[in-house]
Amino acid sequence: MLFGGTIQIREYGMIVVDALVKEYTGPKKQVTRAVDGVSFTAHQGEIFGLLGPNGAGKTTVLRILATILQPTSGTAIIDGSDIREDPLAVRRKIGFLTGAAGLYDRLTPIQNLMYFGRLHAMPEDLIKRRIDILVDKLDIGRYASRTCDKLSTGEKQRVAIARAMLHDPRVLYFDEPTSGLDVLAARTVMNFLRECRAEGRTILFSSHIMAEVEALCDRLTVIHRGVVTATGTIPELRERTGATTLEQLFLRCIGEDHDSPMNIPHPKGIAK
Amino acid sequence: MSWKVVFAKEFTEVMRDKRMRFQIFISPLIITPLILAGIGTMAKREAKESQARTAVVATVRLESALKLATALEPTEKDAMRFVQTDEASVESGIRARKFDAAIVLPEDAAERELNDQTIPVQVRFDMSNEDSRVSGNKVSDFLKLRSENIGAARLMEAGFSQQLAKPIDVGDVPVKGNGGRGVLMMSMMLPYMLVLYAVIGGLFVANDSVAGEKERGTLESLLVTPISREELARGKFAAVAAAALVSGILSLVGMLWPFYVKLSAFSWMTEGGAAFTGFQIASMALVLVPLSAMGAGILLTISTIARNQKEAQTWLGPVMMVVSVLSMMSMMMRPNTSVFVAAVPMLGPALVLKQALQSIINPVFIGIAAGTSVVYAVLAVWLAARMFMKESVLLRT
Repeated sequence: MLFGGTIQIREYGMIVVDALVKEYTGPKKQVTRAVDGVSFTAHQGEIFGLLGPNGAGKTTVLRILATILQPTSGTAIIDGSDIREDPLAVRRKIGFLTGAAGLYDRLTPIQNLMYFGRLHAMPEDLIKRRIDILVDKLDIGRYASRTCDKLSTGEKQRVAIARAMLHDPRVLYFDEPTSGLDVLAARTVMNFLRECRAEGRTILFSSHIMAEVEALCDRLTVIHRGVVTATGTIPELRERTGATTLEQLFLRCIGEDHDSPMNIPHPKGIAK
Repeated sequence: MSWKVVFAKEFTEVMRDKRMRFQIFISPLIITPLILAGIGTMAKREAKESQARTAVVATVRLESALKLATALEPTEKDAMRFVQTDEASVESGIRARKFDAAIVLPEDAAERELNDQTIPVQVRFDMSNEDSRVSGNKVSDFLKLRSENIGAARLMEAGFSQQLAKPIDVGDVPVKGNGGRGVLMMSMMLPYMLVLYAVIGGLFVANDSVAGEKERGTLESLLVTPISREELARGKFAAVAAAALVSGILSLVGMLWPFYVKLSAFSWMTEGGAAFTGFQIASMALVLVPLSAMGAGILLTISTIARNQKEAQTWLGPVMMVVSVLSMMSMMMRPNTSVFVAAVPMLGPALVLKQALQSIINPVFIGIAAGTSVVYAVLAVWLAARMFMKESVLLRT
């Protein structure tokens, strides 16, 4: 195992999302539906893409699946645990990584990792063992005792990866993990994703960059204005939309290629 | 018990931040006493210089009362110089700072002197001008003393004892045991400082612990760990309250150590000594507990509502104003005021501190102030917890 963990094979969906809805009530009591009946299933050892333009609702879906937000209705089962009924069990099974490393600047990478290990209620010796493995694997040793405010963006991102992997999660969520990163740091993240898949982990990968999704994802679902507009593999979606370029594919999947008869209309009939 | 993990991490961060270390430890322990020493030393020097400075005193019609003019001739020790002028020029001269004060005799001064009648003498000065005010007081004291001397001389001339005009001799003897003027000054300043530190002490920690987490993007990582939000809120509250409490206790220590470490800079304050009993110090420390909890609750609520640290600072402005005004009111109020005042947040505990410093024990007042402080603290903590549990507030970015 590249990251020193153990993954058992499951036959059913690792992430089963069922009719998720999230509504926000504004200051004048107006209700906005950010996520509107989103459903999909991601299987073991799969990189499942969540594609959509900015503001489509991808982050909201990920936050609901990470139990940071409560859904208004609908639910999801993550590795057998319901996000509504047992959010703490869900959190024990997932790792979360975004483009922002989100580290404590006044602490060293080791202290950051120790803190998160303790929050996961891991025994001290296990935390230390896992840190040793991850520090070695991700080449963090050179700067492990420097405070995080003195690290480069790429170094911080490696520590954030170590944090996401510390408790050996079976499911990983990546919310636009390469945004704001330089080429080297972005490559570290992409390689890490592939290694996780090779280990049999299930990955939910949210992005608005079509090229990244094509390079990594086994299957994907396209979200636009909170609604799923298309789901399938890239070849399946190409066939369905008749798109020849990635840009065309993306625009047709979100119903914005208005000149094309192959444009997939928005399921809720929302006009541009 | 995951809150302890959060608490330990928050405190580790506090210890690493110069700004927070300064606010919690250095400011109450060193800076506040140094400011007091500075103020005291400066005030003492100013008073000395003011007294030593030669005052320019305008005189109007003094020359008409010849004997009086001779008797009032100032010596070098009196530190004043007389300048003869007319009545019309007195006020404008004082306003223009040409004169510090003026002695004005009436038009019939000469006639009154001839008839051995009392001569009404006016001492004029400008209350808004520090030099003029000090000179005016100096001239008044000078005139009273000379008047006594003239009276005594007249009695002796008439063959009477000068003690005839001085039936009593007043002498001030301060009562020892409760400390000197330093304790009086502390009873004015300390309640204000303690209440302020109990709130400000946790300010940076509170700002950093929620608004700072939002700003740095660490909150999301924290919320996906298997720790309940209640535990998370508890850990953060404990860190803010502990910072406030430590800061408050250190401000108490900061005000007390000059009395025990005899430095000349503090002599003006400590020369009368201090007589604090263990009970007084314990009751002062005890008042800090609900105050710190309330301050932590208020600060954490603001930090949770704010999108970032800058917004939290903006919200804190009016809160700080209210805290300052309420605690400052204790400086102007008598310690044993109406018991209803005991229920006023921050003012009540501040007055309990003032009472303790002045050796007043009023159980009803202490009971009401302590009871209501606990109620306010519970309300503030409840509000902070409620805000922390609301996702629309906690995840506002």
